[in-house]
Amino acid sequence: MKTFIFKGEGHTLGNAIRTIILKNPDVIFCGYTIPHPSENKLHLRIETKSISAIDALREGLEQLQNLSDHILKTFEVVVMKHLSYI
Amino acid sequence: MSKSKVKYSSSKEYIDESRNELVLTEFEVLNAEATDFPGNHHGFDDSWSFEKFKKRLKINIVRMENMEIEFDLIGVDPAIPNAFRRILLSDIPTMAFDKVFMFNNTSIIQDEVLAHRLGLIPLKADPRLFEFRAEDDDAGTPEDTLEFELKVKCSWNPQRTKDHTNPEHLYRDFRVLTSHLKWMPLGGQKDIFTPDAVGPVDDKILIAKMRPGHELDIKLHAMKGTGREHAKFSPVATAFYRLLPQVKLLKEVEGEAAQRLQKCFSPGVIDLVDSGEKKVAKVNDARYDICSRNVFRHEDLKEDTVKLTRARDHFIFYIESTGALAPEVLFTEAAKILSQKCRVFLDELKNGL
Amino acid sequence: MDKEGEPVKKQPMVYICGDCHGENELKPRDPIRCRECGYRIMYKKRTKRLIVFDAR
Repeated sequence: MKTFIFKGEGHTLGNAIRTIILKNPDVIFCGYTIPHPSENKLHLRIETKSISAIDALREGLEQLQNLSDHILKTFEVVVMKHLSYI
Repeated sequence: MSKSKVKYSSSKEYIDESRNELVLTEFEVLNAEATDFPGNHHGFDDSWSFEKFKKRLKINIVRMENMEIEFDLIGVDPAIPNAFRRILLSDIPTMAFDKVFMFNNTSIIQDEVLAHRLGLIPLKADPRLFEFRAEDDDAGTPEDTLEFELKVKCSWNPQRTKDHTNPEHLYRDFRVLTSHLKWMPLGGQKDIFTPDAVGPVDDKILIAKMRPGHELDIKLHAMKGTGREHAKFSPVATAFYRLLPQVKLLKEVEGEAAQRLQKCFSPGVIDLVDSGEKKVAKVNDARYDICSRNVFRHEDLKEDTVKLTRARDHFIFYIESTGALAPEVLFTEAAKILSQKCRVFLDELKNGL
Repeated sequence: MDKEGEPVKKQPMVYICGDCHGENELKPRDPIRCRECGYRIMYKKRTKRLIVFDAR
């Protein structure tokens, strides 16, 4: 059970990481909040069953990074195909 | 579910639908929030798997032009396209005028208003080739600054004739345009960039209007920044997405009712097809429907005739660039930034909290 | 803080006529009046000092 504070992040990372951590079956609860709109801070709370909250966060970040890299790769391939098609 | 008019034959049918579609009814949108998390639905494996994601993900480019792109992003959670959209709007850097050195301005447009207008001019300089300027640095270096000059003086046209009232004929340089901006290369910039590669996106943007005797003498510094700092740095005019609309006809609609049905949707969504003596309504392509829900205004069409839904994981993504970077490049940059955000925090976790 | 008796600069200032836009050199105590058209409203010229703005 832990609340992580991310400085300089907001809904962009917050909602994405929350969604992906919630897909982890070992996670009971995951939610985020921006406690004050004029403070550049993101609170991310994770409650887990059998693994530690830090591990859940690490897994989530890795999964999001892989997802993003894969979307980038796929998109670049599709763009190249589209250009050669024209 | 008691209020809604949607009927299901089994709870499995309802769960399947709620996982795949948003249902548009007369007064509400059903299944708006995502429920596909582990433990929510019996018999479904909702845990994250990269292999599963790879199989589900599809990207199709529908339209790719100089300033605009439209593509489908299929098989992702809404948080992902939203993260890309937010990054496009406020996290991808561009170059924009940020410091205005006003030596002379005798035009009727006030200094601060003129400075603000200049800041909003989109520049096509590639931001990836520049650094962010240090906060305490006022002078700037060739690595982080582009210098421009705007020197315009309005004068009478010596060939003017008395009977003319047209300003085009009476004055010279009465319109200050972006084409009047002159790039002043700093350091070795001349060897790296061509004047064409760093100037304003369009050379016909009106900056100010003047009359004979009015004069502008301005030096400008363009620097790198992000939309989070000021909207002028945002690389997009707009970036947005919507879910793919789906229209299903549940029974045959013909004759006058078919024509009414057709008018309830955007052009091209419903076709009228000959069937014997009568015209019958057929769904042609729901993609460009605006999902107005106008059908529900007709008593005879609102029940058990049409089903309006949206696909849960089919995002139609639009990016309209301001011209600094190509729209497809913007999306790749957005993906790189999301990946980099993760990497920064992973490194932090590795090095101990 | 003004010191009393400090010499006032006798340098003539250039003003612009509000009517004919002509330039007029006026010394202190001169009548405020355009030499060309006699108009009595005069404007100061814009400062020649550099002003730096944030384009925001």
